[in-house]
Amino acid sequence: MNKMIVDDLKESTVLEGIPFNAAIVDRDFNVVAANSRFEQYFGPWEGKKCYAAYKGLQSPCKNCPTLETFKDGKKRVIDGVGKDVHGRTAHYVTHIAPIKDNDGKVLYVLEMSHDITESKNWLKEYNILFERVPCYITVIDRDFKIIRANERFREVFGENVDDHCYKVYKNRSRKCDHCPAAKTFKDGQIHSSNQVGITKTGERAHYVVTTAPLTRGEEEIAHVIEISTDVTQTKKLEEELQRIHAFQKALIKNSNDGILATDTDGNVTIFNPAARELLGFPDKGKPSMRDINRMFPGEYIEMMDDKEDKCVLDESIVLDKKGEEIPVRLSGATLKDRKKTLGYAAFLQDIRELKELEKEKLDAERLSAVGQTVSGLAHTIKNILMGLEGGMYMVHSGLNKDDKERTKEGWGILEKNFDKITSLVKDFLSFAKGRVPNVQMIDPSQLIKDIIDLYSDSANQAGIKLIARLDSNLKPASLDPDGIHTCLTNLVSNALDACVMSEKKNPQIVLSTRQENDTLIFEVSDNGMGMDYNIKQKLFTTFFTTKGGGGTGLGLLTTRKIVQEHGGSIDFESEEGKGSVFRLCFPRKRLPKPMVQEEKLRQEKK
Amino acid sequence: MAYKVLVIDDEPDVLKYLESVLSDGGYEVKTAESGKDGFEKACEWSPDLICLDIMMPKQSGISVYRQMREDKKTCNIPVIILTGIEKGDDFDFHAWVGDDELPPPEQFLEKPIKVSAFLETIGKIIGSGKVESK
Repeated sequence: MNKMIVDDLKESTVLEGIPFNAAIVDRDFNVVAANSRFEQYFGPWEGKKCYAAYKGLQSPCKNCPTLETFKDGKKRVIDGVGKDVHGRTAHYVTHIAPIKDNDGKVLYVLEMSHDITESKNWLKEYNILFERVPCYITVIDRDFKIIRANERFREVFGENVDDHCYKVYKNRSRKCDHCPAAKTFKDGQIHSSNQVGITKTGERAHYVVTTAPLTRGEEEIAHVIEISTDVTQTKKLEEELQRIHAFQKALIKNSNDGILATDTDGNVTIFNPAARELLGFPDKGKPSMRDINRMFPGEYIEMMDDKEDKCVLDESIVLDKKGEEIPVRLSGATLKDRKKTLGYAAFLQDIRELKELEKEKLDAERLSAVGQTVSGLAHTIKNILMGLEGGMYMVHSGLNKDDKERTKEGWGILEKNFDKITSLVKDFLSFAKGRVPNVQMIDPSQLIKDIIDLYSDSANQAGIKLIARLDSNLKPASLDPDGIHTCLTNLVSNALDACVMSEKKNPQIVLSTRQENDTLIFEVSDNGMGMDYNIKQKLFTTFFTTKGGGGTGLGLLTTRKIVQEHGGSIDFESEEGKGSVFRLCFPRKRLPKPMVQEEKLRQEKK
Repeated sequence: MAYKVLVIDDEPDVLKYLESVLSDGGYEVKTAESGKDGFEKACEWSPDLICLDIMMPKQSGISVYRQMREDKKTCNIPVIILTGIEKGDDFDFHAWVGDDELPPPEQFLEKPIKVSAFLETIGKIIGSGKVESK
């Protein structure tokens, strides 16, 4: 009977019709029948025990499910691992079904297996992904208990499975208020949020948490998968960036210097309170590109046209909103990220006060020079008085004695002293008065040529050679031609006197122009009598003169004043008996700006 | 023989003036335009009085004065120093020249001079120019 069933099965196409690897096993584990699929998968089976056919074993497997089915007559599904026809590890799922007789006794067991090696491999891959992915993955139940966690989580938080997620991540004793997992449990949707936790060492940690339902077809979601990415480092960087940004913002806001920055389209991106104040935009509103073109000096505009990377102007002028001139120290910079231009920034230092102080200082110097040397002035005037008195005496006594020669001589003395007092008053006024220099762009060498023309005759007569050494590459400079002319006249007439007094053989005066670095230099050197220590000490003292009544003692002082008005300086070298060199030095960047026509007219009106 | 007066001043106008005043006053006058020239003339000519200007460019009046006081030939010649700077009552000659040894000059006279006072002062020191001979 038993045999009959098997034979029937074998004969029939039932086994062949089963879309699995099907085999029939008897109580002694003998494979009594199998379909061709089975043979193709596991190889030849006839005469083999099932453990040999499936796994190449010599003895039955432990906990053999087939044996169980023989005992209890129930169906089973098991995962199995065996060897395929090629000897490779094979994963398969086997459905085990009893073949019973009419009494319900299990006679055979039908085993239907199908290969799941491929899905097993997938599972493995997914598992690795789950374990190794660089974020913390947990599966939590409705009590927010962690029931599974990936390797990465366990590495950091330990084998804390079974703890509540809020305990592990945040060291809390109850559920968080804004819990994305709770939302997912409620609506079955994916939720994300930023969470702040505390590490084992008590530091703040930032996570981006995403929760997704782990549905298995249940009506109610039993588990949620929670994926947390540690963004503490990113967060720290972000915070650091924000801090730096806030710091820079405060720095810019509180800077005493006005800061104005524009992007490459000319939109104002930074306009700090100091710049608003300076440029006359107290509350709101920003200058447009047109305003900037009008308000800022040409050097800065050129920089914005990418002709220069930066511009530094120690003394410059910007116009405020109303067009008022404001003296500033301006430094401009092209803002670059690597090679790409991001925009332009101007740093403006208001030097109105400084200018005012400078002017006050100059005035004070002038006043003190005038005030402190009243005795010097008195001395000069007394000398002239003496001359006048002498002239008068001689005219008077000459007339009395009818001495024409003496009268004439006396008259000459009177005339001479009259001239002296005239030139004293003129010099004194030009020194004491604050003159507005009339600045123009001129060729420095031309000034020297004019002086040579002026003095060539008198120098010739005195037998003194006038030599010009001019730098032909010199660029024009913004100078007050009358002022510089006065300076050079003073120096050259001093040099002529020094030559006349020295009684040397080949007296000569060399006038030269040149440029050293950014400094324009005029030089007047003579090989005259030179100066001793005492004279050098008193050189720039008011009314000091070595020319007796011939000089007013104001020439060098006036010269120095004019030079200083040009932002320059005067220095000299001299050796007694050998000669003197006087140098007027003008750093080009400190030279005054040439007046435009309009301004000139305004000045003249004043 | 008239008294001899040497005038040293760098200013030719002043020299002409003082020369006229003094010769009108009856003195015999020589002039020098510099300290160097003045000292040489003082040595050669042995004047009875020297009028010396203080403010001179090449060699100051004081240094000429010191030179004269240190030289046997000139150390006894009375000197009037002409100065443009006012000398108050508390004027201290030694402090001014910075030398305690240097004897002060016979007289300081402030420029501009008054002709009568000038002649009077000189008259007091060496006698009137009108005296023909000693």
